[in-house]
Amino acid sequence: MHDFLLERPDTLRAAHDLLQRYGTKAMLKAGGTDLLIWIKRGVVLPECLVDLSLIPLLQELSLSEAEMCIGAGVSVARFLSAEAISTHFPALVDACNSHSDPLVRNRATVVGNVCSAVPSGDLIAPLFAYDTQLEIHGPTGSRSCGIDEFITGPRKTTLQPGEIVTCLHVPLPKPPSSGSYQKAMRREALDIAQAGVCCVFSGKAQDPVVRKVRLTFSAVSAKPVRALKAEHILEQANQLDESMLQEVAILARQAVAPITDVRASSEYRLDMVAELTRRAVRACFAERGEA
Amino acid sequence: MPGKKEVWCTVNGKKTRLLAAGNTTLLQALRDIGVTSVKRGCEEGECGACTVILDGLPQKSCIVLAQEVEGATILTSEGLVQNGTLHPIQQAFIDEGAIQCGFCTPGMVLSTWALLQSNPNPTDEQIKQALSGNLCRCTGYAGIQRAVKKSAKLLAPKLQGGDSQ
Amino acid sequence: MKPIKSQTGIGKWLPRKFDDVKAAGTLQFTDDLRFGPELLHAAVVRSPIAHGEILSIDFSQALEVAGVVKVLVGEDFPHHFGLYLQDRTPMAIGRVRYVGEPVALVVAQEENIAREAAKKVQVQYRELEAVFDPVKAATHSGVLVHPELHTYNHVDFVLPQPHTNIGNWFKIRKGNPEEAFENAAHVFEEVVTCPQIAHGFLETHCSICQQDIASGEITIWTSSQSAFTVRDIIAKGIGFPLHKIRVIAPPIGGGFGGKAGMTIEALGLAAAMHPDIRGRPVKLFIPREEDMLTSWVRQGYVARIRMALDEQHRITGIHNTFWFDTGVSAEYGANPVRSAGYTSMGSYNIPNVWSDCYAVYTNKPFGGAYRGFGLPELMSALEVVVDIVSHRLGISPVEFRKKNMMRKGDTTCTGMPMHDHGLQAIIDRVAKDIAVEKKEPALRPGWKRGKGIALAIKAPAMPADASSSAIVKLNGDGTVEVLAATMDMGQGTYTAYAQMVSEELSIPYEKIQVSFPDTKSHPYDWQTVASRSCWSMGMAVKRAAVDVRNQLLALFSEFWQTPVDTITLEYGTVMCRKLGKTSAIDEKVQNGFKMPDGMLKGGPIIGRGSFIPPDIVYPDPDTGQSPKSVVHFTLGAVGMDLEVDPTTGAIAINRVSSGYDVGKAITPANLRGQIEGGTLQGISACLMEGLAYDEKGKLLTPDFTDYKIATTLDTPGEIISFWEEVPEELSPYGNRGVGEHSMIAPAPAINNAVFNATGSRIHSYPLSRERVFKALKAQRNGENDFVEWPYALDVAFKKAKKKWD
Repeated sequence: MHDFLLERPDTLRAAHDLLQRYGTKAMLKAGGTDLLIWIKRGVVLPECLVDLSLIPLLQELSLSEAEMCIGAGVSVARFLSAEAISTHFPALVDACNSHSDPLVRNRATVVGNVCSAVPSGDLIAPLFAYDTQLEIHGPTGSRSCGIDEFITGPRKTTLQPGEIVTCLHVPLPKPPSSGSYQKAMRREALDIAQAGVCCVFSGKAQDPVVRKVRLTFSAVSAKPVRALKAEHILEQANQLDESMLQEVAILARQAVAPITDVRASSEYRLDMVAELTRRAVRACFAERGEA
Repeated sequence: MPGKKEVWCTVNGKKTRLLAAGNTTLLQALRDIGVTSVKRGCEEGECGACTVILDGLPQKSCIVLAQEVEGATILTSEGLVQNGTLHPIQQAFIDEGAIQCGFCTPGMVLSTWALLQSNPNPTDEQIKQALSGNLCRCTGYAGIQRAVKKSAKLLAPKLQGGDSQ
Repeated sequence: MKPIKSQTGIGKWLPRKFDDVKAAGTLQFTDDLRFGPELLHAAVVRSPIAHGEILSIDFSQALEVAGVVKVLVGEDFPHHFGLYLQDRTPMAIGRVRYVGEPVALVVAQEENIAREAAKKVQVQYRELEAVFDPVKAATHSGVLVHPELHTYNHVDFVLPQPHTNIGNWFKIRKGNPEEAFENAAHVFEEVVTCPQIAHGFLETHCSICQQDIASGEITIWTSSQSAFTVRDIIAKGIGFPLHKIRVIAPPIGGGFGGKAGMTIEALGLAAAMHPDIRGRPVKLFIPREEDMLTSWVRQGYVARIRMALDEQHRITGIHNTFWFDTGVSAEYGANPVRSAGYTSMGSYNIPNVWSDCYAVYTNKPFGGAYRGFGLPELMSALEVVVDIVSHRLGISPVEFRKKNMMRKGDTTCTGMPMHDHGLQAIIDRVAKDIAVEKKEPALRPGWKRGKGIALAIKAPAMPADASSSAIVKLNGDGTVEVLAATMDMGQGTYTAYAQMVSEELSIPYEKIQVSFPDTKSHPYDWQTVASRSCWSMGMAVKRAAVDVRNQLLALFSEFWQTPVDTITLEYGTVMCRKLGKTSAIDEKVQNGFKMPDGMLKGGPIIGRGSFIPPDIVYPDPDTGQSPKSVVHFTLGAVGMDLEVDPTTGAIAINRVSSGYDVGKAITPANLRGQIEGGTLQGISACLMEGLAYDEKGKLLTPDFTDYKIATTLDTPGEIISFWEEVPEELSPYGNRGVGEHSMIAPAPAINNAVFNATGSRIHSYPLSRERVFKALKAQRNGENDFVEWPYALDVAFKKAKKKWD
């Protein structure tokens, strides 16, 4: 593979200095599980990799009453082992368990999945559904940004030269919340999603006025999208019934625009979006005892 | 690009010097010093033939850069052999028909070791999940499944006793 | 009293040879071998187009990269190679024929330098029209992949058709099929398709070649199943005498036929023999994403099968047409075509057989040996057709198979009488294990459960001159070394040989060592393929061991002055109970017995054994008939109990039962391993494997990111492996091979179970989730038969079926 310099700063300041020095010739690396393969395949050819794994600040994983903070260096495995996340963020737990395999999860990072911005990234749809805000530090200060503002297309983000995503702020969903991530693959393990659907409910049970619903997708659109009309119906729904589910599934299909490639045809992806939407929604109702 | 850097780490209990350029993977660096149990199967994180235990966690060394393991502790399957005696997991693999060509075996053994460290009494499903990142084309996984279960039985008293291996 | 007593003879469960070093990770594969700093590394420059003329190759920029030593092109090594047909050159010469074909080789001090420099080689092409569809290529293509086909050397049992894309045409004309079809009570015709699939071994190809500057002798270290065949093919290709080529075969990480024959060695050799490089070893390591582009894959196929039956539901005639997609080379691919052809009756007694099996050239990566060698292809089509027919006739698929299966004395499609076998018992067991007649509710809510069976049959597919030989050396401490050039790639043959030697010499197994092949020290063996080793090399090993025993007994007879038949070998000790004498096997066997007359006699004891199948007659080129076309058949069956998720097309297997008549189980641990492994490989192929291309012929599934194989999570709930033992007459111990057979029937068994579960018959492999889902969708529109063949886009597929004569 193409050769590069590996820099391992131990402070955020030092990382910024490196980005300043190398400009667009530098790329940021957390776990590197996507990045190294891109370099190997010649997709990107950085002269310098700025490795973030030695910066203590970026290893933070914390849960407060208001939110969860996931630092840029936190691996998917470490996230999965944290207390109470399955209570608050079941959809993200589902997605993490479907991401790659146990070995890769020991290295791949949650933030990295967002910054790679690959449409099939399993963690993006749930993070989006949980209204995640990225905290981004730049040379001139820091800013906050939602998932859908951050990712603008396949492998394209609004990250500016010199900026570093330092952590994700994921607000705790208003209880009782439920969430599910469903993924269609070619086999049972370690595969890129053919289609993924994430559904999150939060707010008062059986109170359509305050129930909040998010319905997001993996691998079926160029950038993160929500099925707004479908969400609306679910927010209004008094209970789960089959005809409502069918309508929601149809609206989900209409919200996405999958491509055909060697992994799946667009038709199959649309059919799976419908099926996985039904499953995700049923799971959300069931978790709240509303099935 | 500057030449190779020295990287000091502990490999199989011994203080070890690796030589690595920026783009040298841990897999390559280990193989360069003769630790050849870690194999080049795909070098893209798909097959698991390069599995090592890095600071206690099973990882695919083809997607770890060698320069990142400064100060780290690495265990490979050679390191499980003590005074000429195979580790109980290695012996269980032999006993249960879990080995054919042997190419995936070191990685499988290490993933098994890691599983039993954190989950000494895994269910069948947990075993399959833990090993789902290690491909095998020869055995159909049936012998490997038997071997992991046997390993759990063999190691149970030891693990509960708090031994490191 | 038994004259030879051993506790570790045939039939025992023993710890297998080399398992300990595999478990420890210290066993050295080819990529692990250490050479000094003089080692050079090669990287391949590849064609980006499927068919074209090479106009120019400019490697000046590559040569400027520090550390690059040389760049070679096709003309630097203009030799043709091939096992059965010499249609392959290591690098393209003048013309490229598939996307990925090697056009140049960059040699450098370090592997990474070679790879980076390879990107700087600039090649200009004039693109030509390409052909990807094997049926189109065979029947009406203006594109010829090998216009010079008539100039290639080939063995006389392979029949390339000049000025066409047909690299081999194997025919069966038995009885009077036309009459059978005319008089039939029922006639059925079906089409089945299957893409190319890859071996998926964990170890990719790797070779190191070196030529001595003084003697010119070549040494090749290579991951190969067949050290001697590598030697012989290269010798023939470059015009060297055999003794000047040494091939050393370290243990390999899986073969499955993908490392049979000569694969990549000639490519590395091109560099090693270059005058500017000669003397230095050159290593060619093929990375995963290039492996399918550098050596062969399994041929794809399109099959059309017509079957004629009488009123009693007996199959009276069969008409097979198989187009095997062999990509750009039939050098090895010519033979699976034959192997399928001379077994194109399947497991059935069919008096009238017409088969045409074609190896068809297309502009794609090439086909060759793959576990099962034509039989997974044949049976994944035929066993589906048999199942379709039985359903249409309203008979149980099990009863239909038992009614029509060959029994002892029935003739195969070549006219060869079938020997005795245990297939009936196997079918009954498989049927019982999955309760095939019992309709059971699905375990998974909403899923549909079904059961299906399929049969397996295969003979070793090898030429009549596939010979084996072995040397057994008795050491002065009572230990034994066996030199048998079989490649133990994990199937466990060295364990089996050690058990055979123990059986013949009584020496405990732990004292018997078998070593990996080296053509300099080992005697000749053809190849480790065809499930032939325990049988063919087993004969040689047994003969060699018996030779040792005869010499040993003769010497002790003189030493003790007692007739040979009073001497026994017991657990490694030589005894004469009549005289009360015992002796260890010690230095005497090495340095001589001091005989009663005071003279030393004997000298080191070396046993030798050779074997060649004695009575093979090649099928007649026009009719395919022969009284003994193959040595013997191994038969078996697979039963599947599975469930289908109609909402996604996913298939989950509850239980699979897989059994074979092996004649005699030499090493039960090996049998279990081969059946468990091959069954999952067959399941994986059926559910998720197939090479896929874009419309310009570029391979979209070159590596494990998109060529998916089964993981632990894709395994069946339960796999039952078993065997029957109806002994083989000509055999060391009654054993027949089984290494390939478990790969043959899983795919059609799954297909049949899916039909049983859903009523949808899918005629195209793989039965991927998307395909199953689409088939079920089509079924809701009244289409119960589902076919998808990506290449038949411009020839309307349904029409094409009728026009392929």
